[in-house]
This record gives sequence, C-alpha cells and structure tokens, in this order.
Amino acid sequence: MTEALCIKNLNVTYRVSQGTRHVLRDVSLTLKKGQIRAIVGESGCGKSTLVNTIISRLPANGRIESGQILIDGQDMVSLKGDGLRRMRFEKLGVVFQDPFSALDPSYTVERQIIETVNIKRKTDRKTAVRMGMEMLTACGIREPQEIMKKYPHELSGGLQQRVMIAMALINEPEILIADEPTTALDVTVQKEILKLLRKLADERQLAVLFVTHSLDVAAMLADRIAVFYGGQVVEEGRIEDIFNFPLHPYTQALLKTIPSIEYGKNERKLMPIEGELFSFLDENEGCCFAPRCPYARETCFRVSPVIKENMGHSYACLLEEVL
Amino acid sequence: MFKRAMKRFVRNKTAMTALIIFLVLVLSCIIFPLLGYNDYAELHLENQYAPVSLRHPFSTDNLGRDVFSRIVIGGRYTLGLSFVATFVALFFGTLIAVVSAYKGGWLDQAVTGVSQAVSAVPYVLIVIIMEVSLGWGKGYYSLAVGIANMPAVIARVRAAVLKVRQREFISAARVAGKSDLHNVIFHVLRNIYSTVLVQFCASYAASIVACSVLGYLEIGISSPTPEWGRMVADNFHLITTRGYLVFIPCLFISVSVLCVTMISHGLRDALDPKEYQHD
Amino acid sequence: MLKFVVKRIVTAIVILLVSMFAVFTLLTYIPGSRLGYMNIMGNGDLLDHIFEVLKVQPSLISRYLRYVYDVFVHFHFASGFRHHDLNAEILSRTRFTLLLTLAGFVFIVVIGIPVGTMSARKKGSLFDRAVSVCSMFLASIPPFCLAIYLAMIFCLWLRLLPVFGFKELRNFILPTITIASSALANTIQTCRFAIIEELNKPYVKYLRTSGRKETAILFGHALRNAMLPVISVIKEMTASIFVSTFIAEWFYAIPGIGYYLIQGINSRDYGVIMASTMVIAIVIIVFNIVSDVLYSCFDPKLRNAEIRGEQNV
Repeated sequence: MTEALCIKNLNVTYRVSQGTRHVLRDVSLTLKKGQIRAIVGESGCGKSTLVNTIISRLPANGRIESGQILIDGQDMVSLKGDGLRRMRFEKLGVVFQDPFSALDPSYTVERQIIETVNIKRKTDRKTAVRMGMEMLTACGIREPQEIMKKYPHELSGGLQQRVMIAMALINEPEILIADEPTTALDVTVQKEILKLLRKLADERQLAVLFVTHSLDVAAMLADRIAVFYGGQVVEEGRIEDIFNFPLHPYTQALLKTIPSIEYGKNERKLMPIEGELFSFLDENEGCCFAPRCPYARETCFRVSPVIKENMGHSYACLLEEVL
Repeated sequence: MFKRAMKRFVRNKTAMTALIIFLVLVLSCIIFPLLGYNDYAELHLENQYAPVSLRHPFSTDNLGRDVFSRIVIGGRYTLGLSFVATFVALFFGTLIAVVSAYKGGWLDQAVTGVSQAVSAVPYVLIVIIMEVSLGWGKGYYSLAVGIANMPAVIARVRAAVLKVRQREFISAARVAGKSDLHNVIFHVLRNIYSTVLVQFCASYAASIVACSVLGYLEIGISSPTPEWGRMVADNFHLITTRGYLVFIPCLFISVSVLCVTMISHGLRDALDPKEYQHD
Repeated sequence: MLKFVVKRIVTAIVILLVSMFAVFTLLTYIPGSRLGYMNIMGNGDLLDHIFEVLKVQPSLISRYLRYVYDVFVHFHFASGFRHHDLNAEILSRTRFTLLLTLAGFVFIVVIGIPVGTMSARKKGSLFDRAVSVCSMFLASIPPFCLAIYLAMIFCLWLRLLPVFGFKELRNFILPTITIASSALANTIQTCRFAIIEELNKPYVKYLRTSGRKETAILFGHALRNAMLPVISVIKEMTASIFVSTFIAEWFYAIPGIGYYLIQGINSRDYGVIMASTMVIAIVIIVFNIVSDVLYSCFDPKLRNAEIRGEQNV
C-alpha cells in the first residue's frame, strides 16, 4: 500500500485580538490507500482546523507556519490558484457534517452532479447522467433516476449524505475527507453511512480521513485512530491497540466516557473528564493535558512530551507506565 | 444594556454629527420664529431678490418675502407634520403588531394580509383618498402618511414580537399564571423597545420624504404656508433664473432626511450590534 | 407553475374588485362629486337589458356593477366634466407611465444587481465603501430633490441634457434615474448583503473544495440564490417606484397617468381622479403578479411543488 496523504510537522496559528493561538502543533499523519483513518477529539481540539488546512480553507486569520501536506508527493501548502483547483478536483473529495446546507438548495441533484462531473472533463449530458446514476447506485441509492430529479430539501438526511458522498467521489479522487459526516444523522442511518464508507474504501482503494468526536463511531469503521488533544496528536495507532492498550491518559479518560451496554448497571461508572478544555491562549510549557491529567507530576507542567513509538503505536506522554 | 448602547451611539461619530445637525435644525425652527425677526408671509414687492445680508441671510423670493423665515416656519410644518405621521404610524403600528403577533391565529393573518395590501399602494393614493374624504390642504395628509408607514412598522415589530414570544421565559410566565397583559408589559415591550426606537427614526425619515413630496406635488398643505416641498413647487418656475429659491428648501429637506437616516443607522448599530455586524 | 399563476390571478382580480369598490364608494359619496352612474341605465347594451328584466333599483351595488362592466367592456373608466374624451386620454397617458416604469425597473435590474455583486465580491474595498455611501444618499434623498440636483448639474450647469420634453431617447435619461434612485439603492444593498450571506454558507465552502472556479461559484450559485431576496425587495419597492414615477412625470412634464392624476387633484376633477386611480391600481396588481411569478421561478420549493402537482403554494 502506498501513501495517499502525508502530513509532516504541520503548524497552524490563528491571529486573534489577544495574540496568536497555536492551534495545530507539529501534526504528522500518514494515510494509505484503502485505509480509513479516524481522527478523534473533543470539539475545539483542532480537528476541524486540520480539515480546513488540508482543503486550504483556513479562515482569514489563520496561517500555516510550517510543515507540508503532501498528496501524491505534491505539497498542497505551496499550491495556489489553478494548481490548487486541479489538485482539489483530481485528488480530494470532501463530505461535510450537515449535508443539507452543503448542497445548493436551488438546483436538482442531477444538475449538481453534471456540474461536478464537468469540472474535471467536458462530457455530454448523457454520459454525465449515466456516471451520476452509477455513482448513486454505488452509494447505495436504490432509485437513482428519481433522486436525480429532486431538490436537496426533498431528500432525507441519509439520502442527502449519500448524494454528497456520490458527488465527492464522482471525479475519482484518491482521498476522501469526511468531516463528521454522520453527526447530523439518526443513529440507524449513521450506521449505514459508515458501512458505505467502509465498502467504498475497500472497493476503490480510497484513502479516507474520518473526523469524528466519538470514539465508538471511529471504532465501527476505522483502521487506525489518531487522538487529538490541544492541537496535537497525543496517541496514534491501530484500532485494536488504541482500544485494548490505550497508553495516553487522555485516551484512557476518553474511553471511560463511552457507555457500554454489555457492562452491568453499576459495574463501570461513566467518567467525565474533569477540568476545563484546553485553551489555545495560554502558551504554557509542558504537556497540554497536564492540567486535567490525573497522573500529572510536577515535570509534566515543565517539559513537553516527545512522541514515543512502539510497533506502530505512538503516544506523547512523559510517564513511562500509566496503566 | 441601554446605557451601553447609548455609549456605543455616542462613540459613533457619523451618527453624533447627524444628531447635532438635526437638533440645531429643529431648535432653529422652534426659536427663530419666536424672535419676530421677519414675517414669513409679509409681501415686499419692492424688495424682490434682496442681496444677502444679515436681515435676509437667504435673500428674498419673487414676492419679497424673507426666505430664511419661510424656511424656518416651513421646517415647523415639514418636520412637525412628519413627526405626527411617525407618531401615528409607530403608536398604532406597534399596538396592532404586538396584539396580533402575541395573539396569533386568524387575527394575525388578517393583519398581515391587510398590511401587505396597504404596502402595495403608493402613499400618494392613500393621501388622496384621505384628503378626499376629510378635506383638502389642512394637514390631514399627515395621518395618511402615518397609515402608509404603518405596514413597515407592523412588519418589523411583529417579527420582533414573534422572536420574543418563542423564547422560553414567556412560556414560563404563562405557566406561572401571569396574565397576557402582564407578559406584554413586562416581557414583550421590554424586549422590542430597540426595534421600535430604530423603526421610529426610519419611519421619521420616510415621513419627511413623503410630506415634502406631497408638498412638491401640491397635494399637501395649501400655498401661502411655507412647507419645504411646497416652497420648491412654488418657486420651481424660477429654477433657471433664481435657482437658489429652489435649491435652498431642497437642501434643507435632503439634509434633514440624511441626518435622520444616519441617526437611525447609528441607533441600529448601537442597540443591536450582533444582528447587523455584517452590514 | 400554471396552477400557481392562475391562483395568483384569481386573488388579484378579487383584490382589484374590492379596491375598485372602495374607491368607487368613497368618490361617489363625497360631497361635491357629480360622478356619473347615478343612473345605472344608459348605454342601451346587454347590461341595461339585464337590469331592466331584473328591475334593479339604482343601489350602490348595482351602480358599482355597472361601473365594473363599463371599465372592462368599454374601457370607460369615468366621465370627467372637463375632458370630453377622458378614456382616450387615459389610455394614451397610460402608455407613457408604463414606458417610464418599465425603464425604471430595467435600470434597477441592469445596474443594481451587477453593482451589488461587484460590491459583495470586493467587500471592504474602496469601490464597496463608495457604493455604500452613494446608495445611502440615494436611498434617503426624496426623488424630486434628486431631480432638481440632476437638473441643476446636467441641464443648467453642464448643459448636457434637456430638462423637458419626451420625444427623444435622451429625454428619458434623467426621468429614469429619478424613478429608479431609491429603489436602486435598496436593490444594491440587498443584493450585496444577500451575496455576502450566500458566500458564507456551507454549500459554497463545499463548492470551493470541489475545485470549481470562483467566478462559476459566484455567478452560478451565489447570485442565483441571492435572487430571491432581491426580487422580494424590488417587489416591496413597487409602490414607491410608482410614487417616483408620478414625481418624475410632474417634474419633467411628461403627460403620464400620474401627471393627470395630480392635475385632477389640483382641479378637484373627481372623474379624472377615479379613472387614474383605477388604472394605477390595475397596473400595480399586474406588476405584483409578475413579480410573484418571477419569485416562484427562483424558489425551488415553490417550483417543485408544482411539478409534482402538490398544492402547498
């Protein structure tokens, strides 16, 4: 398997009235073809900033300080204008959280699909429609003809999201970035969409970057998980490793917040994570999780942890053994 | 809350300048006629187009009447009658909007329908119908201008009331057994005052325009009374030879409308900074 | 679509009849008006026969029916006491008014939407700020003041354009600007604001990441979605555009219906007032229908409801 996406030492800052916020710190990630990588973190941990950076849609006050985003060996950070546009429609597909507001309300699905197809190549209407039907069918829509004629507001949330995925994939990108694609949907629909993503990744050797705030959703489909906290990757590894041997205190705390049906009523307590969410404003030295960490020692507040790696499972913690 | 808004308003230079200019305008319209400087209606046919002097700061017109005192008196009519119109629009408009939006149902639908229909009619027609039925040239038109302004007031206030009504504290108060009257006075009115205030200024600007337009079309107040729009109409035939006779009242109308508009923009920004930050 | 249009037209006819009734009643009962229709028979036509057969007394309703019949069958709007051929006069004047108003609307659309779009595209630039200031001035100054300023600048000072007359095309430049001014300013601001709003919406973010060109997004998607608020603001401004038309007619001495109406008022000619008011009412209602239909063309919710024959219009 080859690398589709490779992020190296990415640093992003936001200029705000109180100074600058360092929202992504030394983020490094790789994504292989056919692989689904989940990025998990609480809201405000920098995961949407990561998505926005990859698709080059940082807000006006955001700046990439250093680092590279390599897609097929080409650096997205240095691209501009037409090169960036080409990169976007050839390599990247994006699916957003709220499918309804991500579709233009005043065009039918058919028109939007034809338009999307025509970005990459000039085709006649018939071919574009045929491609669209095939793609919709591949995305698990049973009556593509009917759906094509409808306006976004006439579709259910699940259908809208399938249409979004179909539109993202119709130009055969190598990478699909899914920014919380199931958060706005019902739980049952959510599962179907997750299955669909898994299927598409396997069939088309698609690299999927799946951003979510809940570990259990990530567990349902991902191959690898990166846990984000305070704009950093605090732990990264295969899904089994993360769930069975979480090494970072934050991951451990996060796992304790998942309710489980298999456990009896009182056997395991749900544990909320104590303390305030990391604020990017105080440029503190040391580990970003230290203020909320139950194992924190005095050194944790002074020294920034370096990433330790062992058999494809890496984590950023000073403590040798926290289990 | 209100104090902070006023602070924001005072810091807004454009709005404050507009407010000061407008106050000077209003005060001079009130004070100067009381000094008995010149009579606005007195004819001095021997003194046509007098040179600009302290006695005649804006010279005199074709009948030798002092333009300055006519402007000052005209301001009383233009600004005063539009104030009456605005007051009518705001008072009845707010009343209707609050009741209909708070009660909802068929009443609300009827009010919305009628006010939409009224807003589709050019105000000149409303004024004509009003004048036809109540009598010509006596200032009844200010009532008609008020009625013509009402749909805008009703639409804005109604939207504001609906917004307040959805909020939870109203249902809480209802559950607690408070009467509707209590709710309206203590919750609704307190939350829509900023809308009403902004709408007052917007309405006032629109009324000044409407009243002067009616004066210009010679539908408004009848002739010897120097309403600003009427002054433009009366001197219009002199535009090529004595342009200032037309230009001066025009300038006064434009300046006062602009000032009121800017005050209303300033108020809007100060009272509701979140809602309009994109502007 | 057809269903919607038919429904709108039926409502409009009802509104028209009601407003005609109101004006008719008012103008018939005011003291001093010697309007016709006191005697409901007279033309010796079909309606006379019906009235004869039914032995209808000259009540208000039957007089009103007579009036409506005359308006729509004979184009006979009213009989004035100063003009003999009032109806021919009305029809010839309506032409001018329609021409002027249409010119105003075209001007508003042709100038307002592009300028608003440019302004939104270059938000915060010098151009944008200049447009904002200008449109605030244009929106607040009364039309006749603007007309006077324009006449002073272009006709008296620069001597570029004629003030009066209505024969040549260039005679219509200043009237059109006068008619359009305040509605134009409102259109520009609404268009600008709506496009800025659209450009901040998630679907535009999606379109951008899909690799579309920025101009394609602006014109193909943002502008198209911004059309709804723009159309509804132009619709709201229709009444004030007509007032501006009356002013422009009065100012530039164009023999339109507004000019006629004001003349009628100044000479207390109730026939003229009634006829002009009716014509204006009809024109406004037609304009309203047109703008509603246009709106429904741009609103996918309305459009598709009609395609599948649903009745939630």
